[in-house]
Amino acid sequence: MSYCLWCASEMITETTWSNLLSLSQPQKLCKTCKGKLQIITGNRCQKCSRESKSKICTDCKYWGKLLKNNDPLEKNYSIYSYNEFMKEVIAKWKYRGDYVLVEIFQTEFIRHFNTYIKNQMKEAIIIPIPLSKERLATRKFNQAQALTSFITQDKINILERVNSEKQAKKSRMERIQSENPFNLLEPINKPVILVDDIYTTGTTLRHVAQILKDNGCPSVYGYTLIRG
Amino acid sequence: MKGYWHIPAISVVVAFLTIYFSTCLILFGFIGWILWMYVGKRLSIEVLFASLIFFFFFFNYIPSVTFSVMDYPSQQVERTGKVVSSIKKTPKKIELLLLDFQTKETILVQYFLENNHESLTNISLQRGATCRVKGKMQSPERSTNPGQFDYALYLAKQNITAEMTIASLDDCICSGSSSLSKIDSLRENMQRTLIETYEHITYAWMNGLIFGDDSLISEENIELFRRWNLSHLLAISGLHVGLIITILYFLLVKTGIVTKEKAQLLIMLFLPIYALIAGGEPSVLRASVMALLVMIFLKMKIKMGITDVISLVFILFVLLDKYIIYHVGFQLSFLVSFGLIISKRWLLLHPSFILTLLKISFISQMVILPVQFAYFMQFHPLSILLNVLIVPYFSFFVIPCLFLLLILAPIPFFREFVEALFLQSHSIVLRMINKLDEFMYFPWINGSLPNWFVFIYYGLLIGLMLYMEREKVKEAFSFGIALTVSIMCILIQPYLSSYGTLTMLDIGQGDSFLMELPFRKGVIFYDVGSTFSFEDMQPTEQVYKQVIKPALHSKGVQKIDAVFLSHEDIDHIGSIDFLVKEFEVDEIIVSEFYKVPVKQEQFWKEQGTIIRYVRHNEVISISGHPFKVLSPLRKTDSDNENSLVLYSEFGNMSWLFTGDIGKQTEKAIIQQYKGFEVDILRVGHHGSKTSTDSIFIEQIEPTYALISAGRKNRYGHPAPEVLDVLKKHQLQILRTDKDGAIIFRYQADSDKKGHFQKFIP
Repeated sequence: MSYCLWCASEMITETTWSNLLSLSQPQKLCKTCKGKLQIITGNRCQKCSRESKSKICTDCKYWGKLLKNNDPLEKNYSIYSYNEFMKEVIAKWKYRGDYVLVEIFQTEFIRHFNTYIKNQMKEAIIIPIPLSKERLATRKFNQAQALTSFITQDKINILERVNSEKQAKKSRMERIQSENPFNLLEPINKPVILVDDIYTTGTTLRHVAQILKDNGCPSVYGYTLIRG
Repeated sequence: MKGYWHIPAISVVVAFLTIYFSTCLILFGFIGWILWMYVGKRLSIEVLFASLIFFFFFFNYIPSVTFSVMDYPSQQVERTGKVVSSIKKTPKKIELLLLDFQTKETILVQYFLENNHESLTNISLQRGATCRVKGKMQSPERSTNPGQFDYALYLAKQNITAEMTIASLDDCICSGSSSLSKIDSLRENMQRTLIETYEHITYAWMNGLIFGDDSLISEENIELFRRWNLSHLLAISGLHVGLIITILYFLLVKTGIVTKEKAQLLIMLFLPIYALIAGGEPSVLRASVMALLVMIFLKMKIKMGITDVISLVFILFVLLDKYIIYHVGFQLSFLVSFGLIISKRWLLLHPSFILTLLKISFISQMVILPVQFAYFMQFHPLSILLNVLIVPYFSFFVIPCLFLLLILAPIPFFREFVEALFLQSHSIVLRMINKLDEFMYFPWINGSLPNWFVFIYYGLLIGLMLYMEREKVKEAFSFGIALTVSIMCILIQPYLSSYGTLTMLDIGQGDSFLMELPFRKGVIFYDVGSTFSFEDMQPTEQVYKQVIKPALHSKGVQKIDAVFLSHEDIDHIGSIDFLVKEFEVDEIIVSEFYKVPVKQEQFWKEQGTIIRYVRHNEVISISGHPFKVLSPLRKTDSDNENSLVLYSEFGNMSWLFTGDIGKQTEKAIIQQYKGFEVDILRVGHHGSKTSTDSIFIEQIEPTYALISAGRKNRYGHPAPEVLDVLKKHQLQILRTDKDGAIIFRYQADSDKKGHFQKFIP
């Protein structure tokens, strides 16, 4: 017997023609809860995955102006949009420490990586965005590290975070103008895919990307669960 | 386990298939599949173990079908046992099953009614009674021809190994009954009331659709329904049970008689009784038990998927009756229901009334297609469309109407009104189907599909449905095309096969010889006999229906190029009119001395069949294959001596077909054609002593002698004298009464000789 990770109702796999021969993977969420998660489909910004009618969204245009078209981040790909339900799930997972909820995202996280990212960047190394020591001590786990564990491609931890202020508690302007809190422990000369849970303004990814590029990394991409 | 019960159920099916086909291949495939699923973390260890345990349990539990042909004494014997079935009454006979206390065999006891008006009042004859029965025992008949229905196998699949015919109902002395017999008598009382209240046709349909007994519906209609794959409407199934639950619930709750909870309880109590009143066939039992289980789970607030419910019911049924898995109705009912259940998601895509009906009809026909071919040897693609019209007609009009008539039986005025309405519309609808049947009947006819193909078929069907469900139109279309093309490939196989076949059919005392040329270039008959009734000396349909037509259907034949008729006797030509009526027969070839009755000639012409008269020395080419006419040389007074004698070659061997010629004509032939020899002689006149002269055999020097004669026939054919002559000349004798149909297979353009095979090895 299996239960929904979110609402704890009993789940029974429905047998249809699709899973008659190739049985379906055990589900983590019931149909109702799964339906509340919103996967980004349709038109999106080519650069940051935000739902957008134009090819490059206003956010990215702003970044382009700010960085004088010298953006260290090539591109970001996100799976879900940040709706109310997702906010609840993230809050419970990340801030209230319900580690197991990461399994909700496992299938999609792997599927999207394999379909949209893997083939284009077989050489790339995966780097999860780290937490500062203090933050890790209170949270007991790094959400980016948890997501990265689903992917089998080569990964390394060569970053360190010094600043421990919570990004979520800052305003947009404060974030964009904040100082780079990351240190690089060793240089890398291969393309890099950065993994994080949420892309909100893109400051974090760009901070890391800047350091990597300054130290000889040819290109930096982002793979995030949610586009905020 | 929840959500996965269908996997143990599939393992029961695998156990059955392993036993039935005596091969481990399916088992290996199944184990490979579940292990692969387990390794891929899609299947839990408990389901894996449960499936293996279920397999081994049911592999030992489900019996294999065995025959033991017994030699029973010809005089009456007495057996004592318990009645283990209901007492089944049809217009022609009364049947029951008796479990013999001593021998432990199940005996089918039958009493044939002398006439329809015989009063049947042996009240002590009831389900569960202990009976002493006196009658003649016999072993059920086995099939002796290709495509022929195997009655013995059919009974053996129900664990019935013997038949007993009783001369009078007084030969059954019974006492006691089981509690189930009360429902039997309730059913019988209801039937008796209705038969007196309504017209015969109305009652026939009520009897079929309420009591699950279609024996009163006319044979033409049964056949019509079978031709258009509508027979499922005559078997009480989920459709009926669903309707009854709906009607009952509506009546009970909307009228305010009882509360919802009580209504549910009442329906739960009523369902098992209804299943028995409706005849207790597997389809109605399945539907009732499933409905009951769903309601119980609902009441107990247990969440259960519907695939689990059907799987549990399936396993339960096989557990309760280990022979039930051999039952056609059981197989069809579970296959269709399972197919529909797993199509739920597809059925709910863009729902519209007509589209949903079309989808249901499509799935129902497609999932049973291989079973359909195996049992009925035909499938009619257009029936999918007709079902869309007829199924709602039955669901929303016929069945409610008949139930209304059941309730209205005591109320004169209303019932007459409803009955008139029913009869009027039903005759219109049946006439419409008949009209369609006349113009649009284009069935696919074929015997059982090869076993390997059945796997390909279901593979492609799953692919098709999977993409339909995911709305991937392009992929679904490719799979649909592949499915159709693969069936077509099977259907055109005879046209690609370089093998030809000659079959001397076993039609009892008579003759029918079927020749199929390689690459299906031609299908030719030499004689199509039948039995005849001694009352009016008219041919009966029995041989045609039981032997000739199934043989042709099993080979996928719909068109016959030529039929040679040797002479006028019914045992040689009795089935010709039935054949001409139902098959496309190009021409009938007879000797110049054959007198075709005017009426018959006209009938053949109407059906588009040409008559050709031939004389001796003429060479006739049928689809490029030559036949030489050797006789009649001159007209004699005897029809037998006037028989059309043919010489031809098949499989590098020469054949002589002799009709019923006697020694006189034999002599005339060897005088006329000096030094002529044959390899295979179809012995004249069923081996009567008036034919097959020793001199004749000496001259033509055959290697094989083929004799077509009935088992224990009244004429004593073949005569011992003839057999002596044949043995003396060291001929190999093949005879239909001992060997069943005699089959000769040969290859086109080959130096090898063809070879003989007996149907009964």
